[in-house]
Amino acid sequence: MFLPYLKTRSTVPHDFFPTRLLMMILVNQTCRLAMFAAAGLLFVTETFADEPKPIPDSAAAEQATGTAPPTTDSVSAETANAAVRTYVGLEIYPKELTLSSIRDSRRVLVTGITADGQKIDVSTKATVTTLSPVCRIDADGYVVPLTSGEGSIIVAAVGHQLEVPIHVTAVDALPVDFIRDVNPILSKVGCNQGTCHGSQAGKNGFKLSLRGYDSVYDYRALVDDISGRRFNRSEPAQSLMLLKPTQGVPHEGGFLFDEQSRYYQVLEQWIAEGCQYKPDAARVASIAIYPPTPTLQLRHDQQQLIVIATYADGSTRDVTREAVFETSNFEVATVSKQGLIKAVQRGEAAALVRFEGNYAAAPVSILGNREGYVWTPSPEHNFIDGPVNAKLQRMKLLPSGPADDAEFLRRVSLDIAGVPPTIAEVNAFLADPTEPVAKRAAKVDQLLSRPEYVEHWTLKWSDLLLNRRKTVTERGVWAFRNWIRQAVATNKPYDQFASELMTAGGSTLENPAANYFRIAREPKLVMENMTQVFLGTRFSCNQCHDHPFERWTQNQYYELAAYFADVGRRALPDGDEFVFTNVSPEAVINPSTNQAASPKFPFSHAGTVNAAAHRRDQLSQWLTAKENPYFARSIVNRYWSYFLGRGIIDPVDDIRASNPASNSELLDALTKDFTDNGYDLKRLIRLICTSATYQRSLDSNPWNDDDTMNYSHAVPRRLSAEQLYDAIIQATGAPRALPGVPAGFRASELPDSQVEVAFLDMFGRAPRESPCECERTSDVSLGQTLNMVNGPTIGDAISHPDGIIAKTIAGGATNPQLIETVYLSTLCRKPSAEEMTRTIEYFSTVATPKEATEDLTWALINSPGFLFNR
Amino acid sequence: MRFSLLPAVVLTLFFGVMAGDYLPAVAQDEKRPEKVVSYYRSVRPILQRKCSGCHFPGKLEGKFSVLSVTELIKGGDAGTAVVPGKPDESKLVHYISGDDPKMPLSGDALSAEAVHTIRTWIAQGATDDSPPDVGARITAESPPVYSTPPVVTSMDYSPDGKLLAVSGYHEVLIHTLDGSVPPKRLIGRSQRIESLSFSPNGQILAVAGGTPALFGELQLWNVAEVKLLHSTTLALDTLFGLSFNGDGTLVVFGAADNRVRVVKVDTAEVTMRMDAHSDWVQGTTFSLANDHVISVSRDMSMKLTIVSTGQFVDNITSITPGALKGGLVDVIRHPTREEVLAVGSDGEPRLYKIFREKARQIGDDFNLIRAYSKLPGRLCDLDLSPSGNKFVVGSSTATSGAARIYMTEDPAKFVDIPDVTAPVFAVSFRPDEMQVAVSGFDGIIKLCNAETGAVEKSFPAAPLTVVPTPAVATAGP
Repeated sequence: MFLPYLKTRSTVPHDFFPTRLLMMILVNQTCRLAMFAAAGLLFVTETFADEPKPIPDSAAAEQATGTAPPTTDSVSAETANAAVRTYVGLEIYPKELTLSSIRDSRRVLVTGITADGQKIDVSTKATVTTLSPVCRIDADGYVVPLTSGEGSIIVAAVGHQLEVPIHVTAVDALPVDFIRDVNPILSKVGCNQGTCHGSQAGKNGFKLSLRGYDSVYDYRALVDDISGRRFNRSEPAQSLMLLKPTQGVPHEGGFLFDEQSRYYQVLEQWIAEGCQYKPDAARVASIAIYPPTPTLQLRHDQQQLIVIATYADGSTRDVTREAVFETSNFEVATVSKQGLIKAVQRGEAAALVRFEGNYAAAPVSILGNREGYVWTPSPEHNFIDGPVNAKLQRMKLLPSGPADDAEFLRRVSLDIAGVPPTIAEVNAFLADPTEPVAKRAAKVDQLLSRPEYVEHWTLKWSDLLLNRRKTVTERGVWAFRNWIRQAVATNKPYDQFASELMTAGGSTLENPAANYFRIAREPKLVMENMTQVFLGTRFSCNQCHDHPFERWTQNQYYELAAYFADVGRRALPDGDEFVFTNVSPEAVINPSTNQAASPKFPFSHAGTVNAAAHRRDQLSQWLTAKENPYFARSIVNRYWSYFLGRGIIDPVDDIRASNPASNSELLDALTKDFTDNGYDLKRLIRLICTSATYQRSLDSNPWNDDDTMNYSHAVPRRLSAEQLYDAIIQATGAPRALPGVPAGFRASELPDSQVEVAFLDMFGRAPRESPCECERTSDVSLGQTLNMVNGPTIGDAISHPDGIIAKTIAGGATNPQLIETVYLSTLCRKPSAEEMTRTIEYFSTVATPKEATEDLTWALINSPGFLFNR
Repeated sequence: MRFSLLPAVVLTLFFGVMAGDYLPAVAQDEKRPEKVVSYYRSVRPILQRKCSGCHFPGKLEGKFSVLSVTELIKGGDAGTAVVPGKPDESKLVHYISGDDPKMPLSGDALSAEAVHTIRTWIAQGATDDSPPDVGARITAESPPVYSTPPVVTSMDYSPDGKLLAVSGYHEVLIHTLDGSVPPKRLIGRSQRIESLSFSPNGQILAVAGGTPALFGELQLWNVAEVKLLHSTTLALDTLFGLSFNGDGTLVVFGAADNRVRVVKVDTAEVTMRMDAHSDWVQGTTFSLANDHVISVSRDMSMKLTIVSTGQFVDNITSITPGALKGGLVDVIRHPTREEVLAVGSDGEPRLYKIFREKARQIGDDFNLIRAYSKLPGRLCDLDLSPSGNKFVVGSSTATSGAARIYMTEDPAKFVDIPDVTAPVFAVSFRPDEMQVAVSGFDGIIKLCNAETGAVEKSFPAAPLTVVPTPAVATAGP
């Protein structure tokens, strides 16, 4: 009975749920369960609307002749507002073309400039002609060199035209090369994709490497497998590798290209020239996308992309026709096989491009009609707010105003210390007359020095480092937890923290960091955990094949794992273990070569690594170097997500070229500050929490209610299992009594999930089996709802004889005092006047204040204001 | 709801690949409807691209093939597909027309123009204007013309050592080794010759081959008269690894349909079929007593089968999956012992006992007698000398190759053929054991001294119309 695909609603009226619940209670007190079941968690969720929000159609805009009647229909009105586009000029990218080889064809992007200054891609509407003898124009608009020399092309579109200089520098005959010319075609038409010949077993006896990562393998498959069955040098057109894709013979993969296509001609020429393979052919070093950040206005607007590959020898080439395109979100924008982006609806997506094992992504913004949008300057507390606001401006979003003090206090307390503020704290903070920015900064500092801060972040790191007794024994679990606590308490610099883990040795009880090698006992697993936590990347994919969405190769998986191959482990008495460095490392066998992999880093950076040091020391130096582009960036991004609900790169532990940052300037700035200031995690938290961005209200406005990734307003996040449990105990004042730990222990202080508390499991605490952030779930289920409504955890806590309710009533509180106390203890704020009036009304209908107060507590605990960190 | 969109879009993207209807001929017919619609130029390409992925003899969905007019008229499970002259009574038309056509099952519907073309063709009588099949235009009268030597996949010396049969394109070339006469050309239907062998008395040449993805063919030739005695079409792709039995009455060969077949030489009748392999069977040989056949396959196994019954007896070796990507390629029996040599993708020739002396265990290798030194790349062909004392192996790394002569009894001793720069796909031992022939990707035959490896003579596998360019002569950089 799980309710999948529920999205939390970002704008919930503060007074809605309690009031509504109380009304229900009024109607029928005997049916509490049913009514509560319909409340709380279920009410705060709603299914995500399927239909894309209509945005005006550019085709309509351009067809409009100005005679369209005014109408009140919103869509038509938007269209009408978009008006007819009048173009006043063209821009061409690049401004001139240099063709340096007979195999080098290039195209231009054509941008129309409208009267109101918009830049609209009109590449698909452009006609390209030439009178120069140096080149000709292909049917698809590509400029093909003919002879060396200078020339020009004429580009005409939307009533304007421009002349573009062409330089042809060389047209020497060049045989078709397998690596450079053939393999990209096999990738482009999909021969080597995972569902076809790139699958583990190939298809119908013919296997290629997945997405062409292994050009030797692919060459062999075509040339020496079955003694050259797939090519026919005597009669190239009769080659199986040409007959299959043209359906000249039956082909289950269907028809892929015809005999007149460029692909066919390249392959045919390659066969006719003798199926050559140049192992030393220059490989692609990088690819770049133009424009790098496409911004489209209206639905059906288009943007053609150009992909330029730079080879290791420095040469460049337009590979748009061979590159493989995908979109990260087809509900926002599609990307055709030819690299043409089409706007679907307002939002952000990424155009993902793959070419010869290189990956790149261009963030695509679809603005939609933002008629009437005016940026109003928003306060900036520190360097975080500049890039955030710049992005908001670019996406034509308006940020929400600041959260009020109570909202901020609860949010920041939960985020830094893992617990909501107490009644006394709320009252003190609200009463403090200091100017808000300073007052809030002081609160952040105060929270950072609280013991709960230490417990909260110890829990997070215990999750990430997979501390659990199943692998390190019960003594070990406490020892490792204490080591982590110590590191958090002393604010150990993050690079040192990582380094101590990577190089740990000795008794796992005396130096608990060594448990890192007890938790993962073989080099591959240690490496996988290390990359996911400390680099934010997923290397586990490339254990069996090259990473499908990144440049990581299978070889790199084993080479990196080899750095942990010299970790020795020896049992000690009492369940202890001794971790040391073996003189002779164990072999990490790479199945593709069947040989032991030698340690090698998957990427190099300018940082220093002492090659004479032990393997783990080298790894530690490489990992924690300031120059490592992933180490600091990944933790900064991860911490950011803990406070803002979403990583700048998201998911935070899946950083890759095809998962671009939503705001790379912001991430760069945070990373730089972090590395410039001693990897100080407290400083990072302080910066985030004191930013205006963090302190925004949950309430959205018409200019940001669709924003999910640019931090224009706060987003509600369900309390974690431990937070929720501890918050219930705190709100009700019931005593803490968790099994297996001393009385008074909070759920956040439990050493691992083997301390059985069904409530915590139901709300998705991390089982610590994998270092993925996804282990800790924030799903909403009916089971949770029923538990919140009718479970013993809540019921017992509310009615506890030593609880806040009992004490407050015993203290002789009036109804309004009772009500205010309950609002403060649960929602950490005072009730509004209306809430107070209505609740007093309700109290008058219930037999005893005790029962009424319990009802109120119950209702508020089940309201989003309690269940969520907002 | 939101997520169920995903598969649909993925499918659309995937089949979008196939959707391109590049059919200029169709468009032409559409513009001039009075013109006669050509099956070969207009209808066949539509069916090839839209239908033949499922409806070809290899898959035969609905027991229906679209590869020929005969098959279209014959139809399948649903009955006759094409009624000449009556498009409205033709099931083919019903299946592909309408707003939501039944076919193609996956992928985009046929365009209105394509459907119209097919209708018009049927209305005009559904005549078959196909030229004789593409291969058939190469005949003895119009032999293949080579601008570069063909890739050589198989060679065999005649028992008297005077002739060398070499695979070509659409033909076998029989070279006279003293160069006294130009090569005889045994031109047949099959584009590809995968394996060839002289009968023990040298009178008959058996040839296994076919045209990839279309058919397999066994050819039996009278060598002296250059006369094709039998041509038998078998399977839907090429045949491989052919061997004669001791008295030359039977041949055994493998095929891309994973099957081993034994055929009587005089009648070309299939007398035995074995289906125990799970991948292409690339090499076969008879046991010394001729009562068993041994077959090797890309499935990595070497299997023993009784000739008279086709009963599978044993896996002589079953190699742990993963150890040998690409499987076993060739097998040959020792001339005087019940032992076989096998080669494959792992580059290491191995000698095996045919008959097991120790109870079988999963994953064992008890029958292995010895392994020989490895060559780089995969091993593509092997041949034993008539005494069984030596054998020659060719290998390929795709960009280069190697050939080596081994001493059967002494794995430490071997001789390498010098200066091999191209993949070696074919080797043969001359019956007098003095010479080996080596060829492959470059189509250049090297005759080498069997003692020293020294190249004594080299010549192109087929007569050339132009001198080969250096780029083609070697596969390397």
